[in-house]
Amino acid sequence: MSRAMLSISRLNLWLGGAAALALAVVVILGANPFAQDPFTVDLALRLGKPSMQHWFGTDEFGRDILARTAHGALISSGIALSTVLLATAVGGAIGVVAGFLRGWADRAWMILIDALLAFPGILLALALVAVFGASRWGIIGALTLAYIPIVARVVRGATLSLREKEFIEAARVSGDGAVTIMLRHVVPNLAGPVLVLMTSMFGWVLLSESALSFLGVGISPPAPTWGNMLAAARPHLDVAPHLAIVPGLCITAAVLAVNLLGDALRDYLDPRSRL
Amino acid sequence: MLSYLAKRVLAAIPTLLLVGVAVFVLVRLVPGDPAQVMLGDSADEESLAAAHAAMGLDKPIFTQFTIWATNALQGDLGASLMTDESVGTLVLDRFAVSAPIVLIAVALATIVAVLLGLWAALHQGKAADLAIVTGATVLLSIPTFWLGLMLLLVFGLKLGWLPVVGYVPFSEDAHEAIRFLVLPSIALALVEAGVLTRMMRASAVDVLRLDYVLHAHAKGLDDDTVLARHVFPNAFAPTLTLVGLILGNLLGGIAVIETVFTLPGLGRLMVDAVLARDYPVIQACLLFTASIYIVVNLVVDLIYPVFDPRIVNR
Repeated sequence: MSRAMLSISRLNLWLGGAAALALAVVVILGANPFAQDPFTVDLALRLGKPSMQHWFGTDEFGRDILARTAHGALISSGIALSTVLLATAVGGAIGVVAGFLRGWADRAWMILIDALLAFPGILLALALVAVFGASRWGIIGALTLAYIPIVARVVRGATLSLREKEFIEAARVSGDGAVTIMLRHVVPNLAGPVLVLMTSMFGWVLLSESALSFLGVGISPPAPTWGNMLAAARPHLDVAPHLAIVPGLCITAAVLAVNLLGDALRDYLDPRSRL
Repeated sequence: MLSYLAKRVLAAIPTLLLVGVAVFVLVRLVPGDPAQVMLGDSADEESLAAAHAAMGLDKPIFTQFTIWATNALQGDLGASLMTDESVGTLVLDRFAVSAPIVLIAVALATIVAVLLGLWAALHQGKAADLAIVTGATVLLSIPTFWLGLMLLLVFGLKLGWLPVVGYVPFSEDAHEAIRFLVLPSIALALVEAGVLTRMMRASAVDVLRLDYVLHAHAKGLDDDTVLARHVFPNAFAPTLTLVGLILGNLLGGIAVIETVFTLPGLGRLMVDAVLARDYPVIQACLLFTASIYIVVNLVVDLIYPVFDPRIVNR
């Protein structure tokens, strides 16, 4: 690859690292034992501008925005991480088994998955929140079910091409059963592409979760998430724009960090697929 | 060619059918009794039973599905539990608000992406390329609703160029209607332009490497002709598929932008229905949006051979 390609890759790494570092600083400043409490209401400080005591200002109830942003980061990334892990485990299992065994089970799974993929955007998650309820685990369940089809599709595709490789043939000839081949030979070879998918998915889930919160069907106040902070900031946009600027910048920085580091990871794992 | 078209159209039918089943099952999974929701907690046994009979909830689940599917095929999606309006009319009215925003946004994003993507690919590795790729990645990382809020803050509240809250239908005042659509469309377009530019650049880079481009240059065609006639169609084909997906995805995710700009669109209808547990409306929104998504992608599949005729023979 040319030098130009390398420099895009390096730029990704630097910018992504910088965004991640900025977020880490916000979380450490806002969620350490000496920081302000994210739930303490002080009506004298309603919509306060940034000050020495409240670095990012205060919200419509006089609560510290830095503390709420930092705690929101922990809640949102916890939801995103759980969703990514669960969706990868379930979707990955479906994808490997369907892709490796083929036959009627594969066809049945793929029909179901295609039907679920026909609901665009956050529509499926939105409908599922109505089923599961807007608790933390309800949101994780809804988002997990919405992302399982995507993982299953990608993993099945990769498994389909893997199962025709010579080393799988060799394992089969040497007498390994289907389960052994899947666990010992197929799954380890899927690690690279799945890791890249998980990184991108983390960014998508962060965006979906904040969209659900923003719409009022996510984690409900007083618990802070970036999405519900933005929803609360909307009516005060004119007099207190900092309420909307801080959480929005955080979502952007988080998704950007994940996207850029994901690009860098993909370049590292598979140099041929460079953008 | 004809068999390609027929195959694509036929493949969409089972998907549509499955979407119908999925929509029906999904709403039945919701905990709680729709009749109870409609009548409130104080309802007595008798009126509940009457409501069950009226809504067909006392029949076996399979019969319920056949009745619902037959009615849906005839365009009858029931009435809203909250307002008693016909759900079909409600969905179409709200769709008329959302559709122009999505179409304008996708058209803008596609034009910007084709120009920037080709430009970046032609200057691969130069500063312009780096700036475009990085800029595109930043754009696609911004949540649309935050970008919408920021545009609202700058152009609506601070500069006062465009209206902040509300909506005017095209039928009443076209000029005013457009002023209400500018910011939501641009917010969506900017984010999607990021996604599409990266795609366009990546496929243009791949195409520029191919021998037939060198051949076109060698036979004496000037750069612009090579770009317009030989590079663009081939590089645009994969981007076109993505345009179709994005068109559907925007329709599925437009609720956030409608919330920012207080527009009475399809997305907001769905969210309000979820909050109010208005099952017929949830079902209709899901069914309608998924059907549009399937049809849009079908149309994209049908247009694809115009840009890359090889697909027909595959």
